Amino acid sequence: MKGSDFILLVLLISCQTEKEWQFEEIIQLNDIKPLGIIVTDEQMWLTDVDRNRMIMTDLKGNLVETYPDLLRPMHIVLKEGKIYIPEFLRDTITILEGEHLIAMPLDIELDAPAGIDVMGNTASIVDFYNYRLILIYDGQTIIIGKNGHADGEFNYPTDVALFEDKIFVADAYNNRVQVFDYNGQVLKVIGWKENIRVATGLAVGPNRIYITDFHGNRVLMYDFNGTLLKIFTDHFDKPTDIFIHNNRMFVANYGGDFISVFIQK
Amino acid sequence: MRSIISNLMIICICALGAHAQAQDYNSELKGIIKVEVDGLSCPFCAYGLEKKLKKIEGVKKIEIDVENAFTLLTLLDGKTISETTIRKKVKEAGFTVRKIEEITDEGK
Repeated sequence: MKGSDFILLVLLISCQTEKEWQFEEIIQLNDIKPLGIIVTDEQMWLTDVDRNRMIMTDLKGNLVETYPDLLRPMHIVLKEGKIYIPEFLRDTITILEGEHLIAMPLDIELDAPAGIDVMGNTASIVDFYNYRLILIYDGQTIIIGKNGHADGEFNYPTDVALFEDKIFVADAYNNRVQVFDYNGQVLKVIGWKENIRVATGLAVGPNRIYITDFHGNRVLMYDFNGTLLKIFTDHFDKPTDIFIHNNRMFVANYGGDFISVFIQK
Repeated sequence: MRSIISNLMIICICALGAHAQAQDYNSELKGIIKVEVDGLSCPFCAYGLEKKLKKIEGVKKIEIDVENAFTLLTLLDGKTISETTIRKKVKEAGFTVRKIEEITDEGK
């Protein structure tokens, strides 16, 4: 092997090594108890569930805009310029598009929707008090799961993410995340070995799943095989949601009125 | 014979106790009612309980204290609700009642 080849090989290996996550900062919020979080290049969107509102701040946490009169808004998602807001007490998904709030048309009754994700023409909703996952695609509404503790069953699901051809559900009071295909088949059950105490929220990226452990004050990172890769233990107070953006992980802390930020370096 | 009598006495005492408890649950409450609940620890639980209690007729206002695990129900003037109704809704929400009591404004 030539010297130049060796250097190239070393460079390739170092490029493939995943960067380490490091704590970066705490963004302190003023009179906001964040539950759901979305982050863009310039803004953060947070559901302030105790005050029945959603707010937009800059990346330092300064209030920019308030959207009042939402009834206990939970885990939100931003897709194609629209923010989808599950209203826990109103049993609806409200869509913020521009300055307009409209109700998402649904042909199924919800009982306390807690989370939603949208990908193209597909939407998935976790229906907290009906203990089920609702999948809407190709004009069909498919119901997955029922109350219970076995694989494929839920005990108060609170968050959901669509990624590639999989659906990831935070099965909060079963203290785990379940991974499904679009036929409702369970592909993986993740987190049950780590003594999570209420898996309130999740985020999913390429071969990575992040779970908030509400009472354990932790964030756990897994690969898609369910292998535990890292446990973040510091800088949390009752975490409820995670958002990954530009090599940063933003964690909403309902208990402490702040956002913890980690950076991948 | 003695054991039969003592067994009958135990059964009677239990039956009387259960009856007394059932009577308690049927008591009609008014004004502001404090409901202490086991397991009320996260916002999903807290607002789930709020959702179920809101469906009780005659409830004017609900305040939830997640940290101290209780809720305050303020009833409309002249309205009463039974303890049984509250217990049923709390159970529907997935919780167990620890204590229910009528309180005054000062007692919050």
